[in-house]
Amino acid sequence: MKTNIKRIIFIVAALLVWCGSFFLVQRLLVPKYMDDLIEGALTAEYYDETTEHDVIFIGDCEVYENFSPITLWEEYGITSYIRGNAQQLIWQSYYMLEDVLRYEKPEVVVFNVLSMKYGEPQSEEYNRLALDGMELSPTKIEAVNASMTEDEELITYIFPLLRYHSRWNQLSGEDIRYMFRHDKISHNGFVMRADVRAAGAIPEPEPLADYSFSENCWKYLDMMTALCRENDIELVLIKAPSLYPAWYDEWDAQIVEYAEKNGLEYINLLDKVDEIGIDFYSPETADTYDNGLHLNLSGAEKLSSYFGNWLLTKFELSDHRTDSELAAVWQEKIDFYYYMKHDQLEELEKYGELISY
Amino acid sequence: MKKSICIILASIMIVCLMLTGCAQTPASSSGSAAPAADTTDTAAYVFTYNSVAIPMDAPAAPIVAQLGEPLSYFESESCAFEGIDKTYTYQSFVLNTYPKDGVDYVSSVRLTNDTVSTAEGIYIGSTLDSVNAAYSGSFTVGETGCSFKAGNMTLSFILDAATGNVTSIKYSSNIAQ
Amino acid sequence: MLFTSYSFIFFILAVFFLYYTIPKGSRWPFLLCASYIFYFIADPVFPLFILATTAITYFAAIRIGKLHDEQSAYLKANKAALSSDEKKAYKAKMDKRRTLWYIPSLLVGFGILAVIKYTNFVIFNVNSILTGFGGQPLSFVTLILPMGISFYTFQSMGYLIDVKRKKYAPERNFFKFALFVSFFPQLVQGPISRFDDLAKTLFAGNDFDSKVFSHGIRRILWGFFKKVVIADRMLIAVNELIDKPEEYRGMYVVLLMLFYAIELYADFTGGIDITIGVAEALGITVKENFERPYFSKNIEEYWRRWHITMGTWFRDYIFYPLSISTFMQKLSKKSREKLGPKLGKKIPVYLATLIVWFATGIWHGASWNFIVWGLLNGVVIIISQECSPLYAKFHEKFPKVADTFIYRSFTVARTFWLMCALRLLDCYRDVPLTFGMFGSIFTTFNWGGLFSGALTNLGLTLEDYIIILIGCAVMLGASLLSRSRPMRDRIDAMPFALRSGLCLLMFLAILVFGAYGTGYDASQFIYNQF
Repeated sequence: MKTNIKRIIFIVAALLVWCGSFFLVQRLLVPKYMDDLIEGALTAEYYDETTEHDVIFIGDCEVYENFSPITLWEEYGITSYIRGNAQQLIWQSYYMLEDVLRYEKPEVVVFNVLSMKYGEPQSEEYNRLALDGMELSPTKIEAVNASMTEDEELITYIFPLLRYHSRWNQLSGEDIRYMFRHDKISHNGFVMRADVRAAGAIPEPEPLADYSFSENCWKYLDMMTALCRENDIELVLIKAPSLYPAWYDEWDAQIVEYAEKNGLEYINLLDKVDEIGIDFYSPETADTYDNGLHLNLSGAEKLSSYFGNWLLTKFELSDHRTDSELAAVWQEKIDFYYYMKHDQLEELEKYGELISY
Repeated sequence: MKKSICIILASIMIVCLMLTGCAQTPASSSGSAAPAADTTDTAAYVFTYNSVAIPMDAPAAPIVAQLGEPLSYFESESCAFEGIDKTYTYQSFVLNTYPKDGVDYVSSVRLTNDTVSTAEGIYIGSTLDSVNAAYSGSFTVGETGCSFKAGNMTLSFILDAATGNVTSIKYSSNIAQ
Repeated sequence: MLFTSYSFIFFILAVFFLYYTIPKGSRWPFLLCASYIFYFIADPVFPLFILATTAITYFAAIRIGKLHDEQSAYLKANKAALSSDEKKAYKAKMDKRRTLWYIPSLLVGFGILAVIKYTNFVIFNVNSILTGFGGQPLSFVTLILPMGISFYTFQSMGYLIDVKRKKYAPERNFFKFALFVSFFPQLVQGPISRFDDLAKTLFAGNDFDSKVFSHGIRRILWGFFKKVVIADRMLIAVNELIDKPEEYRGMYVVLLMLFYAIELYADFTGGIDITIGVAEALGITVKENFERPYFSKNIEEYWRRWHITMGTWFRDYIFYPLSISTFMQKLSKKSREKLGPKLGKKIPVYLATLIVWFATGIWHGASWNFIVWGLLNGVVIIISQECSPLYAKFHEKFPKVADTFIYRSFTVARTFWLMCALRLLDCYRDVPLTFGMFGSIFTTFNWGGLFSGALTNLGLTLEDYIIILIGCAVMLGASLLSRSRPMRDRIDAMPFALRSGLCLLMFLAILVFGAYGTGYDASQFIYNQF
């Protein structure tokens, strides 16, 4: 009996050591996305949130670069979070929303429709940026299954060491420093860029042989609509005001029709650029940092100011600024926001460009 | 007795060998130099402008230098990752590049007016019949277009819904994303 | 299902768990199901092939066994009544009846293998003749090559021959026999087991023994280490060198010889380690297939220590019977008459050697490369046999030399490089190219390239080479240590903490330094489709 117990203890201890070592090595070797390619840290940062949100944005870079939740809070008392990633495909947006619903139930979900143009998984790199940070759950498994390109394997998303093991010869101080912690890099999912690079000549949109969105995209849009309906959430479709890549009238018409058919709000913000006051072209003061692809900080603040107002006219959202507990949480966010804004402006003044962002 | 054994065994063998023919995928015998059918890819289509050839996936810098000043130039950064896709707009075509390991390569060329034509003589305004006469081999015809794959590139034509004539001609790399 | 795929790892974990949780009696039937599932996953058609070979061999062996029994019973019952001539005549009659089952079954068994593997090779050769005479070439046929067909065919045909030779009685239970033929760990790349060896532990429904189980797991880890860390990494450079022969001549051919030796050894022995380890974890003993082959002092010894089960198969089932066959005896008699007793005696042995090596060559692959490779092996063996009196004389004169470390190292190195040179036929696409490339070693002097970054242009980085170097050092160390005492015993003697620490280290080394996943080609085992 005694020897049996001893044996079991031995085996359990050995198993613990094996699993522990595996996870230590895994932690060491997975990319940390802190010093570089910070977009890879966006998905995981959501889980640090301690309070709930009225509005959740889902979509690609056209949401995480173009909307500022801090502005929405400061001006309207709207609590919001952006669950967006670089080239986040529609099924990833759908599962991001499912993931959000595991923790909270927002009033409004805003989806940027640009990703309707991609009917198939695109690249492993972007899949990794969007999905690696997602907490393990059935939702994550489904998201991975929907996203994988031909050569990818599900198990490498569950045990990322199997994907990143060959990074052993690229390890840096960052990997040690951030082995068990991470810094805050976004403002409720918003990636701040204060620099300016005005748009020039945008290439003519090239004609397409077929303008209809793929079946796969419609399927996920339907699923998104149904999920919101089931959870009593208002789904808003938007097209963010980015000049490039092209958003065709033929595409817009399909979304307009879909929104009408399903009783959804759809707003093409490209049509509202003047109304919002976004300036893409002034060399020194334009509201874009990369030729009109994404808005910079001033552009995002203008757009958020406009969009917050639009949200209030459409939905009954309460102003939470009087809630002292919530206000305290947001004050921290605001402080970080202005700290970064100040830091970026200082860097721009000093170097003429952003160095550490 | 003797006969029946032989018949049974022979039929087992025949069934086995028939099954070998049912397989979908031909097996390759690893490590051996077994003869394989020769499958050479069709040579890629190349657009030439003022005697400057612009093949897909070729380094862009020398080509751009030879083509001279473009009407306009545009660059789009890849989301999150390093690297810039570049667009050079010329009088009669648009040239796109993609970056790989710090070097730009040609990702596509799109003809924009009828002052230029493909090496096989197709220009904007050509009929579908002339396209089919100029190109053969594997092609897919959608409702408003057709494309021809050759090597690692695709040559696509978009047709006007009303007239059925070519409205857009594009060479694109199958390697660039 | 490749040994190094995630699905294989899940598969064996599930098999281990279920094997030890189900009742003892149902363990071997479970293994049979698992083996057929394994085969079915590879291709749904595959099980039909193995089933056909199994059925033919099973029924023929049963019939032959019955005829043996009938014969013994008859002879026993009529021991007194029969004259020796009558006995002889009866035996001959029974032998004929057995041959009636035996020969057609062998023909069909080997016939399936031959048609599947060699049809296109025959067409290729016919075409070269046809086109030579201006004829229309025949088109190649698309045939599937069932995984491990050479291995299971040889294993079952060996069984049939053994039963015919009365080495053991045939297995009565069809399903047990089916398990012997299809036992999944050895379907991929051998070893070629003998029924009497494997049967001892295959059907026993072994109880879980933590020591045996951990031996198995250790062996699997060791196999994965060799295969994934060393072989798959080395393969990148090997493929680069093979794919561009016009670019990589001279010194690179020598590099290829060395790299391929490392790659092949790590891949093949690693695969066999996984096979033996999986079987061992189930309490089943599979014969060893290698015994530190690169330490052999001559080519004959090398072939006794490399792919042992294949060598003994050819020896027992082709070389011996061929040597004592009536044809050979007639040939021996004739050659002695014509060439004198000394040379005449050797002719049949040479012929048998060359035939066996021709067969070994063509077994490895349907191409002239392998045929030439096999024959060259035979020729080298014959030459070394012929030279043995010379060596003997030399050693007589210098009796102390043979025992010196330098001389022994010389013989080991000589054998190693000789085998490396022969193996080039396995690399390049045809025989003339191989000879040309080998010749370039002596005509193209580009050794300077070694010092100007030639190594890092082969798809491997400096770090990769360091890992390969450390991996080779570990393999070499393990080989040297196991000469005096098997590694298994050495590790068993270590304290628990050190033992499990070593295993953990191996596990992490495979995970981190393995050349697997995106960016690395998942290479197929070299012997996978033999």
